[in-house]
Amino acid sequence: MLKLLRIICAVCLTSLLVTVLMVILKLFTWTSEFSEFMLVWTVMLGGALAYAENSHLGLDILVEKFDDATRRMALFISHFLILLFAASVLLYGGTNLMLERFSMGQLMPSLGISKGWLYLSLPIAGVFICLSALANLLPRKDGKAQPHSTVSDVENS
Amino acid sequence: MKKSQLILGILLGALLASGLFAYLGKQQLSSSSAGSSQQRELSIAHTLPTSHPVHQGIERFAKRLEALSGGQMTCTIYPSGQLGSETQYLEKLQSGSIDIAKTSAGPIANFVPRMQVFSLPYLFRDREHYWKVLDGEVGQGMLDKLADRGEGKPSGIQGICFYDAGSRNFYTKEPVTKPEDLKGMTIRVMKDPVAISMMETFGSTPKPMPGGEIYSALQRGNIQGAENNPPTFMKDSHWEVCKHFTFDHHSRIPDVLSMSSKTWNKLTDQEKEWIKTAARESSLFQRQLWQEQSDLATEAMKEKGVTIHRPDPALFEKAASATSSQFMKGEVKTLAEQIKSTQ
Amino acid sequence: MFLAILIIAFICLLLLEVPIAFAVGIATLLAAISLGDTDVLQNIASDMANSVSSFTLLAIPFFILAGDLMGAGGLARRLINFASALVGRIPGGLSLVNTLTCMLFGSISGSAAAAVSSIGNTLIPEMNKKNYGKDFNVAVTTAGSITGLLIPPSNSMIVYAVVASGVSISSLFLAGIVPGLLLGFVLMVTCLIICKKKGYGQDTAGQTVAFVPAFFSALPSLLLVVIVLGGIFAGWFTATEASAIAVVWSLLLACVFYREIPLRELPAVIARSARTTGVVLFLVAASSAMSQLLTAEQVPQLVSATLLSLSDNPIVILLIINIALLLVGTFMDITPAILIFTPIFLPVAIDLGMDPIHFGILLIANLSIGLCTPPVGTCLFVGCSVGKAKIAEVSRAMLPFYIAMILVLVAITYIPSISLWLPSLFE
Ligand code: NA
Ligand code: NA
Repeated sequence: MLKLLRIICAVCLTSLLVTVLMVILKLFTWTSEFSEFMLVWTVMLGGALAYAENSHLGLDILVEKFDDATRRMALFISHFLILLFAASVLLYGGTNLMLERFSMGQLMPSLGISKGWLYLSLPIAGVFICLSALANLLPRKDGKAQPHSTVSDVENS
Repeated sequence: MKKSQLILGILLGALLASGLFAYLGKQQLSSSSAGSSQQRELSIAHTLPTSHPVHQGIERFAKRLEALSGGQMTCTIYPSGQLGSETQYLEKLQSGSIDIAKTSAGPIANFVPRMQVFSLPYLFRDREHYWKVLDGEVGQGMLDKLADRGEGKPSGIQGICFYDAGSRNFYTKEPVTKPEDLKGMTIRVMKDPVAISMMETFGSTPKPMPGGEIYSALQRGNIQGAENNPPTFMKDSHWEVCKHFTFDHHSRIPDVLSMSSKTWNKLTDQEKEWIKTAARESSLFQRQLWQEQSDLATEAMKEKGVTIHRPDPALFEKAASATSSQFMKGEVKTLAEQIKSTQ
Repeated sequence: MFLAILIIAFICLLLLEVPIAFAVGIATLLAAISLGDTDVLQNIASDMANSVSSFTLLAIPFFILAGDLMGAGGLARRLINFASALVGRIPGGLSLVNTLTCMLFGSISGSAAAAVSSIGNTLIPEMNKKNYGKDFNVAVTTAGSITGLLIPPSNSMIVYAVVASGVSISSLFLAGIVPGLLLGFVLMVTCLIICKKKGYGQDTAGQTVAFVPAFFSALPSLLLVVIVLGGIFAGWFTATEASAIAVVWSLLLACVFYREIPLRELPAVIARSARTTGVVLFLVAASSAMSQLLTAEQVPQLVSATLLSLSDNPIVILLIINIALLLVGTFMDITPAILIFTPIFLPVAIDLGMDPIHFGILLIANLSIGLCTPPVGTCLFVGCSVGKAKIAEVSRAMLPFYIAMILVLVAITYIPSISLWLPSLFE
């Protein structure tokens, strides 16, 4: 799953680059809206990838001082809250938002396609985040808790 | 009990408590509003600052509605884009989380395709024609039919009234008195397919960019001109860099006050009548305010040494005819013909 | 009530080590529920998607990708060589090389943390070898990296321009140059004083790197600065277009000219940039939803009215704003802080007669200090992980640099011409 997500993200970013280059070269006029469309997809899936690879920025001052059992508990809770958020806002809210756009026939002006396709990125990212969160909630073989951010992963800001 | 467990417990407790209070707050609000079903509170959203004529028009609407209904219907106005962008407003009208919103007719066309007719270049002969159409059968028919997005499918949006948003005109660093003058210039336009196509028909390069970038882009020669109404031209200080303003009136896209169908369908006939009356009054009031501000801006332009050109609009209309015919299809075509034939 | 829920939930979530983006999102969700809004879930989802659907923000993934390509493609090493040729012979010179490279790197990349990881990876081991203090080395790199947020291009300025609509990115970029150079200069002076006092690098003085080959090797990278910044200021292209050109140029350098990234490793580099884009802009999306809620509840008006009622002396109000922002910066990342606090403080600043561009530079200079402070400091975290040092000890070594940064911040706050002089030349 991780590999799939990585490939999708790389494809999104690459097509984003290609469309912006087409805007610069003035090849098509619709590309400016398409590049915004691709940006939303890149951000949502990139955000999901960042969660799957534990790269989101977090505050590790308190939990790391806890003893092992309590820390596992705390991390369990925090992954559970993320699961709730992704399932409710991204998956449920995003799906509703998307379906409403399809059924109400809202179009994106230059692309001429339904805005539902833009909002589809929300439930897809939601699914990936839910799956990663579930994987984090299941007990691991080595019995250790899955931390959120390994500092060496944190790169750009 | 270990200290870390205690801390975790406190954190969890605080979190649960805030969740609980959030839930209680919601219960309280819904019970208090359910208690008095006679009372209606409407939210109104728009993206303009409170100094803008549209805001004053909406304020007038809210005041009149409250007076007409004897305090039974009240409004809360959210100006300056506090609740998002115009496209988001329309989505929120559809889902019913905003009651009333003011948006340009431009974005509505993405929801109700026939509204694209207002984006056609040189559609109205002059301001008088514009208001004759909007107040007349065609305009009122479009408001009444807004809830139908075509073929009888619902749009979720109910039209209430039109507000004046003036006419858009070119302003440039070099004078533009005939369509040929635009050839070769790079002009900033809105991200609207019709506007982009029109510039291409004129032989200039359309360049959509965020409003905040226009000033410095003009200054550094990235673009040679832009287009807007006189008050915006003055307010954004673009007169400092562009010394030529050409009243070609290429588009007059009205602002529309519209309501969520979900809210609309809950209203009694009496309440609908109050809304229509208040809206009509506020529209008359707003268009007068707009005209005053537009005249003031035009005066100010002259004072600041901007040269004003008033070319024959027919010349421009002819030059842009390729764009008009490209977008005149189906319902848009019928409406455009009705509008043009309105005397 | 609504504010209390928002703040308490947010702090608890942060302490529970919920990533900031999700902590912001969940706290917003709870607060929105308490207001009894309908369709809360749908509205937050909509705010998140729409806030990142912006042509302006497109520059951010590209400046990130360009930075990653330059790090992996050997551009950073060539910049270090060039900097050594310039200032390497001075006693304590490696610390100056470090700061100068950070500034050069910052003038190409839009992100500070990219500078810490690329430069720190090469220079910190080198400085350790030459007997500079380990914590000091990490501190220098961390402090130097934030100059890149003031020296254009800068992702933070792009985010600010999006919130403070009506502010031009290219004017902001111009306004950042002098403050960025000033900060770099003050940091270098601080380095020299510390090196002198602690005896770091006094023996290696006089070692020289041949200037001409170093210059030519770094020339293509330096050319990028000329193309990107020159292009923006000359009006050839917008920041977004410039960022895409930066990617193409660094791709050419890394894969064709220097040949340090084999083509089959390219997808991995791109996927990592997409992930970083996710980290930065997912945070933007969640913070926008929170900011939207705060504005709808008129919190900005409340805060600015309170602030203006405290005093009518602009100097005092600016002092209060600066202290508040420094506190915010200690526990919040720069991106959400810009998104949430610009709508709150900018109206106050405008009331005081401040130019929005000047305020933007103040805001970014202030919040970038927070990137180097515990408990939440991205640059500090990256620096410590690259230099294998402890956060607490590096923070102690950072103390003189904090003082230097605050001095610069005071200068930026109270001398507007530091920021506004350069843009005014272009008018
Ligand atoms: Na930079
Ligand atoms: Na910090």
